[in-house]
Amino acid sequence: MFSLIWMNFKRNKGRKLLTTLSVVIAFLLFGVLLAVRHGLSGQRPQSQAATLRMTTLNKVAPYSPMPVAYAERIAAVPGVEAVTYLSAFAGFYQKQSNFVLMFAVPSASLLGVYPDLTVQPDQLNTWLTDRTGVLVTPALAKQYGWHVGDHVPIGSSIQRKDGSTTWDVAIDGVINTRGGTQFSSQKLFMHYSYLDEARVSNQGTVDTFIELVSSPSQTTEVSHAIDRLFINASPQTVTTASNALLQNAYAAAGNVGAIFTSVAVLVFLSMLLVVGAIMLHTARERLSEFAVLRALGFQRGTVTALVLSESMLVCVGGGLIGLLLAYFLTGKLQHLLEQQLAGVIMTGFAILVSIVLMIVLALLASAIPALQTWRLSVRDALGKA
Amino acid sequence: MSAVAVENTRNQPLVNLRGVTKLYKRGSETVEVLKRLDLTVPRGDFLALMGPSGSGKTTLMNILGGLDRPTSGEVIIDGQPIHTLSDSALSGWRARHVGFVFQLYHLLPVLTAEQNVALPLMLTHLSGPERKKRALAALTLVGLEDRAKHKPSELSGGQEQRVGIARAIVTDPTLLLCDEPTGDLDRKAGDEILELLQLLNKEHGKTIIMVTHDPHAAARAERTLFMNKGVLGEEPEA
Repeated sequence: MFSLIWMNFKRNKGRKLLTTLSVVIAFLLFGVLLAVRHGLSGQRPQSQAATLRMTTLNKVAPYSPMPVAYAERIAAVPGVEAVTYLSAFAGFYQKQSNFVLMFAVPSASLLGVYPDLTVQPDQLNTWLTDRTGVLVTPALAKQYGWHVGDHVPIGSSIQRKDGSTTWDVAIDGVINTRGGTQFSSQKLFMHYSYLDEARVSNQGTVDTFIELVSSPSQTTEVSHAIDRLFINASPQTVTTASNALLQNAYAAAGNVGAIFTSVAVLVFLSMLLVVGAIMLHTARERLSEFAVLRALGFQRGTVTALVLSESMLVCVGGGLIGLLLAYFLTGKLQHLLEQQLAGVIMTGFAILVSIVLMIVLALLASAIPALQTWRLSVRDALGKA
Repeated sequence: MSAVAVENTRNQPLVNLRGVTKLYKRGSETVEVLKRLDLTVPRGDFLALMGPSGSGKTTLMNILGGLDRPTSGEVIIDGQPIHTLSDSALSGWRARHVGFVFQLYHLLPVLTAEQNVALPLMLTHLSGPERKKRALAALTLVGLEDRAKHKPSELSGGQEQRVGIARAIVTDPTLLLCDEPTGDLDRKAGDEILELLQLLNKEHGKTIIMVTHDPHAAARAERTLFMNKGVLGEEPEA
């Protein structure tokens, strides 16, 4: 029976190829849309520690400077286990297009708030005592061919007291995430003290405070307590769970996720119309052949299954190819967009949804021709032929 | 089947139609296509059915082949009352007992001659090699063993009809129903097909009922019945 299905599938090669290709492209687009939507929803895989972290920003202008002295007051809030802070700025290596995301952090508290980060002990010890030392992610080290012990100049727009804007740093170690998962982003961690002592402006300030609480259930209470501390200060603060902050940032840019979902639905519906029309035409061309099969003794269900199986081959076959391409493409996108949009990945759930949609598409597209075949009058079909 | 066995079973009735009536609705009008029709066809007979267009020949063939049901009456083939069978059971019965030869051959264009002939065998439990062997045997019988790998578009009309006949006989059916088997062929190719049908009837004991408009074709049959306005007769209506 499969040979019959396959022989029929190979009929009208041009038409089948174009139809299958349109399904491939549709599911390629669909897969990428789902992956980007996942990135927009901020649902990237999280460690347990990530669910315990909170972020405090300048309430008036997020990521604008706040006094570093806030850290001591935040640390005293009940429920706060540890506090760190950072000043982030854009750097570059050798030329402006060689982007490096720089984080100036207090070395003493960084790993206390980020227990999910790991550095080899000897490299960590070196960094802790090396004022100009930095930790880099494996992706960054690989991109520029850096090795532990290298000294590299990092350009920036931050004016130094010596008149330069270049930061000479020593690669002391590689920072990674626990469990073998590597950072895929190009990040560099330098000492906050090095930045703060050398820069001309914004001294004694940071962009972000990051707190670690003992339980996710405490986040609301602790965030209110932190923000109450600075209600009469300037600037005031706004504290949220780190994950919520990410989602709010995306929500501020509009409900992009809903737009992506709408586009995905439209892609699906347009494919349904395209494949449905072609299946209808294909089946109509072959009604007399189906009648012959019925006359030869093939059961009504078997002949109907031929129509359905052809639709399945086009939709599921083309869909799987499209999904595979989407998988590779999102892998590339994930690498390229790590700084701007983390979590652009095709989850198992997205793959499952896509496969279910392929089957639904195949069934819906072949519903009318299958019904026609099921109701086929052998006498009439042979008579018309 | 041996010649002796063929002779022994030749006079046993294979087809028995009793009081078969077929009504069709055409808009608000009801048309009686077959009128209380009785027909007995002995096993091994070669019967030609003639008559003008619209006389009910094809309807009768469809009922005999289990493709249509009578409005009333009984259709008994080889002792089996097929008018009582369900749609599914009727499909199975067709696969086992009837071979169809169509005027327009109705071969599947994507399949080779051998694959077309082997189609009905897909409904059996035979293995792939066995199906292939039987399909080739049927093609050999119709003289087309050297065209086994050819697709219908690569065959002449006469050859296509031979493939159609091979497909009809490959399951060794009880009854062969031929609807205008030479209607789309020239005289020479038509004669070859008729000779083949005669061979299947005489040498292989096949019971054949053939609808035709062509008196020349009907003359090849053992007997001819005439259908006119839903009624069967021995003589054409004047």
